[in-house]
Amino acid sequence: MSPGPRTSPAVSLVTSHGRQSLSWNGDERLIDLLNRHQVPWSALTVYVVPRSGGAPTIRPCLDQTAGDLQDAAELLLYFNRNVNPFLFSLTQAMTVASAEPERQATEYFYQRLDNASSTAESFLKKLSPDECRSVIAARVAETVREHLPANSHLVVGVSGGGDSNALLYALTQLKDHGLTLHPVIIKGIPDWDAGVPRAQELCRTYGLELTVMEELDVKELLGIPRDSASLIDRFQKEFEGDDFEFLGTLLVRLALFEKAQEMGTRFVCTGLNLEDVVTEAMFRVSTGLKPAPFPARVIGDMTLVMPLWLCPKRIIDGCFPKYSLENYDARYPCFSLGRNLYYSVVYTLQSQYPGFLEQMARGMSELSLKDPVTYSLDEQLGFHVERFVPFPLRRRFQRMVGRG
Amino acid sequence: MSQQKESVEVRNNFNLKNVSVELVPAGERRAAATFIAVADLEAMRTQRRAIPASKHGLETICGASCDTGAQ
Repeated sequence: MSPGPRTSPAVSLVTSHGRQSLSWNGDERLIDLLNRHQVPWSALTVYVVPRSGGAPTIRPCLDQTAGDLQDAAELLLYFNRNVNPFLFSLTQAMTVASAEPERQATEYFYQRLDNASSTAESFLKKLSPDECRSVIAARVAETVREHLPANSHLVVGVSGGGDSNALLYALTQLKDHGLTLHPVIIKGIPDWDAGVPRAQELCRTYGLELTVMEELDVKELLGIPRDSASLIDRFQKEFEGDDFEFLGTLLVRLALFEKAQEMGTRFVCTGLNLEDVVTEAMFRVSTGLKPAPFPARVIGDMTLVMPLWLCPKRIIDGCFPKYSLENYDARYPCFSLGRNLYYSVVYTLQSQYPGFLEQMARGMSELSLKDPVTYSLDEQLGFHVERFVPFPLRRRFQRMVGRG
Repeated sequence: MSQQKESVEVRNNFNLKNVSVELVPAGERRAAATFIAVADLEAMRTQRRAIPASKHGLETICGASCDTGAQ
């Protein structure tokens, strides 16, 4: 005797704000059904109403399909708190009318929250390159005016990618602050070297003189012998499976500081954007560390400024779309679990709750600037650090630079 | 009279869990009727006032037990 036709159990999402039926799609698991409707699994307790009758019983069944739940007439997905997480859903976002529909380079979700009426409205705005550039120029101007004295000399770290282009563009648009710009690019790994011709082209466009620091000079920043293996080989040998970005950011900082000293200024800046500063702050707070000061960070007698700290990568990329694509094609994968985790958390927040990352950035910036973290010179390493470097790690680092 | 009205509203809200609603809205393309300037959208993004946990900011008074109203 063949079994009768299978009937999928009904699924009801039950919240204190109302109840809604959801439907299965093929052989998907309950977790897939929830993801498809953007229902957070961690906020639910699942009860099964038996086909045979009787009281609903609790059932952990996120991994089960409708076929696995043939004894169930209905699944009751109870929200375990009385909030309405769908208030902020982007599915009902309105696309904002565009002034230049033929010149769209990117798009971004904006959200208006009204506390008085407890409502959220979402908007999807398509942005042209001109609009992106005006946004970035405005944000950069605000930060520079607040954190850099007028008539400063500013050493700017560039990579030749979309971020540098947008940063240089925005800095050169600021005419009433008397800034003098000194762009610097460093060489030493293929990704960096590939950016040099683009950076040179950019600086020509903006009438700026680019300083190119060769790999040998970059090695010297850490006291690495000039005739030794390449930077990347030394790093990979000692820190296998880790990401060169960590050493890379240190080298960029040291190179910018050296150039600043040479120019007699104490101000340097890099293209750290909104996602970068929040990821760093989230990592720090979640590991018990205060957020490091941003968007201006005093390290020794230098100040590192982050003019793009309120600029999302998506809008930065819209400024010069061609450069961004070339930059992405030169990307090397990131393997560090932690770096993957902190960035992924931030992208999830940013994608689900537009504007919240900015609120976090402003709040954490305020915290970071009160009684700020300080850095002290580590004589052995030759640069500033915040906290104690454990001996085994110090020894490996010293070995990498050829001093171990 | 106003007390009676209030109790009706409270009962209605309590019963919401049995009312069919569209909490998870079906995605549909919606175009805004009006143009919104980029500067206004940017103000929405970067200058939005932080939302208090309680609509009336009650966490200032009650927050020592939990700022976000967990019991």
